[in-house]
Formats: sequence, structure tokens, C-alpha cells
Amino acid sequence: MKRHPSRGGAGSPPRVLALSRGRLRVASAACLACLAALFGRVAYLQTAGSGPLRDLALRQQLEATEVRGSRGRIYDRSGRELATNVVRDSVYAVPRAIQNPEAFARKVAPILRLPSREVAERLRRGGYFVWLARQVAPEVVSRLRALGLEDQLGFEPEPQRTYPAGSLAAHVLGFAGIDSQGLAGVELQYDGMLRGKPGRVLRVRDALGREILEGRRVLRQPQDGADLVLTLDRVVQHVAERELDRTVAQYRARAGVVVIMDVHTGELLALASVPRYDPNRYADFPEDTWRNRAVAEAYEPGSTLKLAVLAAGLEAGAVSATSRFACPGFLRVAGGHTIRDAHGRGHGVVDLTDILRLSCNVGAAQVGARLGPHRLHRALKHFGFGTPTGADLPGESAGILRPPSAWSGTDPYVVGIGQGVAVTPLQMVRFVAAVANGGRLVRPHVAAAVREPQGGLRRLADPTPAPRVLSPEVAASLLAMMERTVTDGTGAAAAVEGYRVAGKTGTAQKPSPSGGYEPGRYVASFVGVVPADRPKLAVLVLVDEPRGAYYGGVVAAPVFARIAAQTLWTLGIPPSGHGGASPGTRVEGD
Amino acid sequence: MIPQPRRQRIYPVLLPQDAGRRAPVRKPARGHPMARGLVALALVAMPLLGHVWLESEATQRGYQLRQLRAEVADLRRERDQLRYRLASLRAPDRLEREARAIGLQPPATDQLAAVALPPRALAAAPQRPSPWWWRLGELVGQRPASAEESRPR
Repeated sequence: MKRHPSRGGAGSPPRVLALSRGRLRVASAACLACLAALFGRVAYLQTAGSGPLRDLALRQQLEATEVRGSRGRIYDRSGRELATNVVRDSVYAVPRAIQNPEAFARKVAPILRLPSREVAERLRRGGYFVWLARQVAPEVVSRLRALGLEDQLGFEPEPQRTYPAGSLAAHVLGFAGIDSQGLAGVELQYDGMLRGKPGRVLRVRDALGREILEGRRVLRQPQDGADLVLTLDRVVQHVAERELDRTVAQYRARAGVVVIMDVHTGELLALASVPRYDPNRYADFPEDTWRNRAVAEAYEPGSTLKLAVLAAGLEAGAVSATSRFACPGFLRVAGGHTIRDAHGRGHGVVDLTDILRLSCNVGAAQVGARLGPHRLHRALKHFGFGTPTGADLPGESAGILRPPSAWSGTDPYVVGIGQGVAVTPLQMVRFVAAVANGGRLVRPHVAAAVREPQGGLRRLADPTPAPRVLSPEVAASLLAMMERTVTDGTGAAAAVEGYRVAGKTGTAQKPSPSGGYEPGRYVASFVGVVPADRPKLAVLVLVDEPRGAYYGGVVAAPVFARIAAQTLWTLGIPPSGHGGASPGTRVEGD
Repeated sequence: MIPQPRRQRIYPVLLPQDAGRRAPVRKPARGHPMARGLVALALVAMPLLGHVWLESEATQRGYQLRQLRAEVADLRRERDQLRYRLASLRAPDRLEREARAIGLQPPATDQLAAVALPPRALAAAPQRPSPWWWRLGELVGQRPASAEESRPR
């Protein structure tokens, strides 16, 4: 019998089965080897090789982001908001998800008012994130959402600094940039306080990119910025700006400044500067308009400096209230220069009151000459000229007060009439405040208090006392002379019905960069105190390069009167003759 | 007599008297092996399932929380917008425009009168709630400059 090839002999396994078992062993071994390799790989990945993978996973799932605290608000002295925050959406694109950048740009760019080419260019850089526009208007966001490009476009809410009253007090407030950093004004000066401290949050995202909240870890808690309360009064500021706007427009002037200060505390109630700008869209205005002229721009004061010259003379004992000077209308001084009075007419024999009342150049020049360069320079320095006032506003100018060694023989005369020196409006109003408060040189400031995020109110206190620069007698004497200037002198237009007013007019020719003075270019100013019987406010009005008229008594004094009247009513300061400001006294309209 | 098988011996045994009355010994209950396995499996699986359920529940709650936070953020955004709008509407410039539009004018000097109120009238004045900025009166102004006292910076 022929044996089947597939079968073995009797008692031995069949041949096919034997082969299968061999293969099975090989296959089993291979499987085991694969399993062992897999196990080994898994073990490796779980131990020694886990680092890079863990990092990769963490990069995909975890994201540490900086969280900004809310920027502090800014209020006026009555708690009315001057600067606040609103949330605006910023728009970003995901270039990796965009197949056709040009087509995408054609849809999106017109809504964002950007050139299509610029948008396409940004998208071509690739990556997962590129800003298209920051802090856009809600209408723009609605239009973009309507495009249905959810996977390609994203919106990130961001706080935006806004100024609800528009250009009101813009030069004091300044403005904050797109990342809420202060760039000008008190926004810059108090940036550290307003900005708060950023926090850091670790976010966990799922496969769809959604945040898993239970995975969120706050690495560092963000702190909101503190609110700042200013000494400004929104209504008084508005009055000052409105009247200044009108005057600058009326006289087609280059610029104008109004400063209103509490003579006792140095609190600035209003600080207006024209031309103005809107801090909500500061980039649309020329940089020149951002400058706070009240602190950053020095001018030759002209006759308003006679107050300081006379004060210096009285303090030094070089002159007395009864000293008399001859005024033939001109005075020849060293170097062949001639000092003339405004209208070329002599005032006859004048005393100090007349010098102020009539704004007599010849008399003031003689007082300057009596003091001499050293005493006059020292006194002006002592009164705060030539040095920044230390106001809490950035960019303050020191003005120009040359050392006596640089003075020529004519300088005591010309400085006596307010030429050859440059002062800032703030320096001038500060000195007049010292005259009004009995002789103390207070520091002007705009920040009154800080309101902490927890609600506590903290006064910003200055530990240094105001230095005395004038004796009370000299201050009182000067104030009386200033009052005569309004009742019976060049400042008659500054009178306010019902209130006693003291002040001084100033008309100064503008110096030319090439030497000498510019013909036909003047600075008209008026600085005064109201009420003169119970001094409360020092007000300075300055109009730069008015056309048509240029005398301080004509251009600036009427503005002073309008501003002072409305400010006194607003603050509830009773008219002169009604005694002291008793707590029960109110000013009411009928 | 009953016949006994061969090779079997009988030994006398003394039984206790209550032997017949003792309760029968109960054998331990033995379920089906599969049921026992299922119970064991359930004992192991239940905590695991519970853990998974809790995790998923926490995630769901997290998403809900996220939505609620988004709502809070939206409401805050709306509140800020309204505050901004309110402050804009109260801007002095706008108020003056509106006032002039309806024919109001600033008062003339002769329309103003200083009225000295007696202390009694002040005391009788209705008390108004004091928002935080009213406390500013203590902090801002009204202080004469003197060497002794501190002034705002």
C-alpha cells in the first residue's frame, strides 16, 4: 500500500501538522518578540523617553498666559468719571487654517478698513496666530462674525481705555496706549498705580481647543489698578476750556492756557490748553496738540513778572510801599537801550501801587535796577522761577532764568519788566497763590486721592510743608496793590460783579529765535486772585499771538472775569461782603 | 431482629439527651460561580465607573462654568458700556449744548443771591446717602496751607 505523502509512519505525527507546529512556534516567537518590543517601547516612553513627549503634550494642552488687571479709573474731585475702560474685541486670524489668503483678505480687509494686500501679507507669514486689528468697534465684530469664518478668524476681548467726556481735560489726563500703558499726562505719571499688577494663569485645553476650567491654575493673581481721584472739577474745567476756545477763536490766536488753582492747597481745579485733542483717538491729532502748554511751555511773562520784582524789592528792603519813581515814559539804560512804556506816555511820579496799576515799565525797571542782578536773581529763584514746580504732571519745563554771571548791564532793567526770563504758566500762578495765601509757595498738583481696588480711600499726602517765600505783610501789601489794578488800572476788564478781584495784566512781545523780538507777535495774559478779601482761587489766562488786539487787559482780562464768575458760582463761594465762608452759606440762582 | 450485613459491627454510643432537638446546621450558601464573578466585577468596576462619571461630570460642569463666566464677562462688558454711555451723556459739554437747545441760559449776576442758612435749617436738611466720593470732601481742599499740616502731593 502506497503511503500518503502527507502522513508519516505509524506513531509519528503527520508531516503537515509537524510543519504547522514549527510555523506556529516561529509565529508565536515573532509575536512575542513584537510584544516584547512594544512593551519595551512603552516602558521606554513611560520612563526614560517620556520627557519630550510630556513637553509636547503640555505644549498642546497647557498654555500659560498673562492676565492683566483692570486699569484704574480716573475721577474728578466730585467722583465723576474722566477715564474708564470698556471691553473691545481684537481680531486675529489663524493662517494655517486659511487655504487662500488672497480670497480671505478680500472678504475681511474692507470691513477692517485695511488694504487687502497688507492682510494677505500677514497671513502668508503662517503660524497659528496673527493680529488683524486691535480693539475694533462692535459693529465691525458683528460684520466679521456674519462672514462665518469661525475656524479662520478669532476674537479676543481686551480692555480699552476711554475718556467719556472726549477732549475735556485731555492735557491733564493724557492717554493710554493699546496695551493700557500710560503714555501722557496723569496716565503716564501714575501709570504704575493705575495699571495694577499682571497675573499669570495656566490654562488646560481639550482636543477642540476649549478651556477645561478645572484644569485652570492661577500661578499669580492679577491685581486691578487703583482708581485715581483728581483735584480737577469737571464743570470748572469745562468752563475754562469753553471760554478759552472762544477767545482763541475770536482773536485767531495760536494757542491759549488757563490755570485755576486753590491758593491754599495747590490743588489745580482746572488746567486748559488750546489747541485741544481727543484722547480717545489721539493718534489722529498732531503731536504738537498733545503738549500741556501750562507746564511744558515757557514764555516771557512781561508785566505779570512785575509782581515778583516788586515783591523782591519789598522783601529785600530795596523799596517800600511809599517809594516813588519818576516816569517820563522812557528810560535810557546801559548799552544805549531804551525802555518805554506801552503807549509812550509818561506816568509822572509813581509809587509801587501805580507801577502795578498802570503797568509802568519805567518804574518797574528802576526797581529791578535797585535790586541788582544778584538779589533779583536770588529772589526770582526763591519764588520758584527757573525751577520745575514739582507738579505731578510729566514734561514740566523749568523755564529760563539765567545765572547773574550771564546777565548784562541792562538785564536788571529788562528782567524788571518781565523780559529776558521765561516762566511756565504754572510757575506764575504758583507765585501769585503765594501772594494770596500769605507767602507760602504751595506745590501745584492734580492727584488728590487714591481709591484702592478694595474700596479704601487714601489721600496722597505731601510730608514737606510749603516754604514761606514772602512775609505776610509783603504778601498783603502786594495783594492790595493787585486789587487796585482791577479797580483802577489796566485790569478793569477782570472785575467780577459782587466779588473783589486782585490781578495783573501782562503783554509781552515774543522773542525771535534770531535775537530781538518778533514784530506784531505778543503773549497777552492776566493773572489774578478771587475773592481778594478771602483769597481762594488763583487764575491765569494766557493767549498766545492774538490778532487784532494784543493787550492782556483787553484780550485776557475779560476771559478771566467770565471764568472766575462761573467758577465761584460753581464752587459755591459767596460774594464779597457776605463775610467769611460760613458753613451755611450757599450761592443760589433764582 | 433486623439482619445486619456481615463484617459490620455495631458499637454502643451514648447520645446526649437533647440530640434530637438541635437545630440543623445550615450549609453556607453558594451562588452560581458566574454570579459571584459578576459581583466581584461589579465591586471593582463600580468605583472605576464612579470615578469616570465624576470626571466627566466635572468636565461638563467646567464647560457650564465656562459658559457662565462668559455670561458674566458679557454682563460686565455691558455694564462698562453703560457706565461709559452714562458718563458721556453727563459730559458738561453735551449738557450745555442740550440746555441751550431748550433755551436755558447761564444765570445773570443779578439772578444770583447768597443765602446764609441758619444752622437749624442745615440740621433739618434731609440726609442723603453718602457715596464714596462724598468722603473726598475730607481729603480734597478746604485746608489752608500751613507749615504744620501735610498737603496732598
